[in-house]
Amino acid sequence: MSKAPQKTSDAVDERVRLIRELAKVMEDTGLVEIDLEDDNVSVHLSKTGTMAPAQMMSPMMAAPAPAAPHSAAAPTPFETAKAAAADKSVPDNAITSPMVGTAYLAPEPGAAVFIKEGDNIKAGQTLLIIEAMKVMNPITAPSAGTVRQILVDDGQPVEFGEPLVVID
Amino acid sequence: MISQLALSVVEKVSSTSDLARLAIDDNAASGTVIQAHIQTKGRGRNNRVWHSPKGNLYLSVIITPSQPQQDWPGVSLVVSLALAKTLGAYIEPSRISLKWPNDVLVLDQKIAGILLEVYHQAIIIGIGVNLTKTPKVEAQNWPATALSDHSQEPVDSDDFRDQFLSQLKDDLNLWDKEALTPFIKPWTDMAAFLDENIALTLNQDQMIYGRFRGIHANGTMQLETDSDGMLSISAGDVTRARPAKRKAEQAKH
Repeated sequence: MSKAPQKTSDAVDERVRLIRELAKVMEDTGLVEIDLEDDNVSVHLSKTGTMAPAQMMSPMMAAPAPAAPHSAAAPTPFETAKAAAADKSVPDNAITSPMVGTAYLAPEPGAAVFIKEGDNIKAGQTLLIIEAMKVMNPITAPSAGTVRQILVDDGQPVEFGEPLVVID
Repeated sequence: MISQLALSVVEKVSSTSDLARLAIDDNAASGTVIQAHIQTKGRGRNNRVWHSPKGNLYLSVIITPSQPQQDWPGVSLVVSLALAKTLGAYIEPSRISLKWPNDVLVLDQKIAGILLEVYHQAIIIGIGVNLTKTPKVEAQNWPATALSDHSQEPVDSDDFRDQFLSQLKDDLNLWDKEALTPFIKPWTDMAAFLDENIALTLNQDQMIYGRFRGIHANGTMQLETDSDGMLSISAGDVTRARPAKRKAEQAKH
């Protein structure tokens, strides 16, 4: 999946060779996903395709019937039986939740979100907050980089070890 | 975990939590306590304002637990129980109850606010106790009260603080050794709304209803619902079911 314009057949051959090499790296290392980007080329390889963990947690998404009808589609903080950390489509470098809790993408209801996909961020910057029993846990960026994926919704329950954000 | 408490007192600060962060940046020891007589920007859950006039107790306690981080939320229950025990020396204990996860109530009115923040490898335990003043609590549908409304004798705020910190130190050290196990029963014995119908506000206007069936070994709320059976809840604001339902009805119109 190269985004760079293909100007010559040489360039195409070069891309094919690159993808073959990356595929071999994935085989050799057991990696399930690789992103490579420089000035000329942007490649994303994934063995199983990417899927946000929220989509895999159908039991959690079931709306509580007698609850407020205006929020029927919203996720609720039920403990989920499924350990999303086992989802192989999530990159190994995803930042994971340190505890069972509820994820907040903004510092308070209605406020601007901490980050958006594509944002360039600094090391130590707050990405989101996990709350568990009024213990607020800011999740910060371990290093500078670009936000590739935000894997949770605001107010979504998360498991210990569940991938939250991918930064590279 | 806490070998010694080290108390610093300031007259006025934005929030004792702000000073606690600076102290952690400066490698403060576990057991460092920062008290202020006045906070100009005291905060509660969801960045709600915690009005902090002179006359009440505002402090932040820094701890660096040896328990694994996924068990840290249990500290919320430990702190609320330590405060309830301390208040029990001033107020008839049967009037005191605990609203999950860590609100301390006297005759169903809120007397304190507790909010914990993880900062680096430490927890900042933020506590506000209404000793003599009952500030208006913004954006929260819950009545407030102060210790002086219930205590027969004048309360010496330094005595109260020292008794609370001593109880808190003992309880936190026990938690650091044995996790929540020794606290589940005493907490549950003081739990408000046990086996009653409650409403749980999850996030802005999201609500679920059920019967509060106590707490799990990890401190999460066990909520029995008609539609989804027993749920373990890790975050939310608890209210009685009836007024909350009315509020939800109004919100629909």
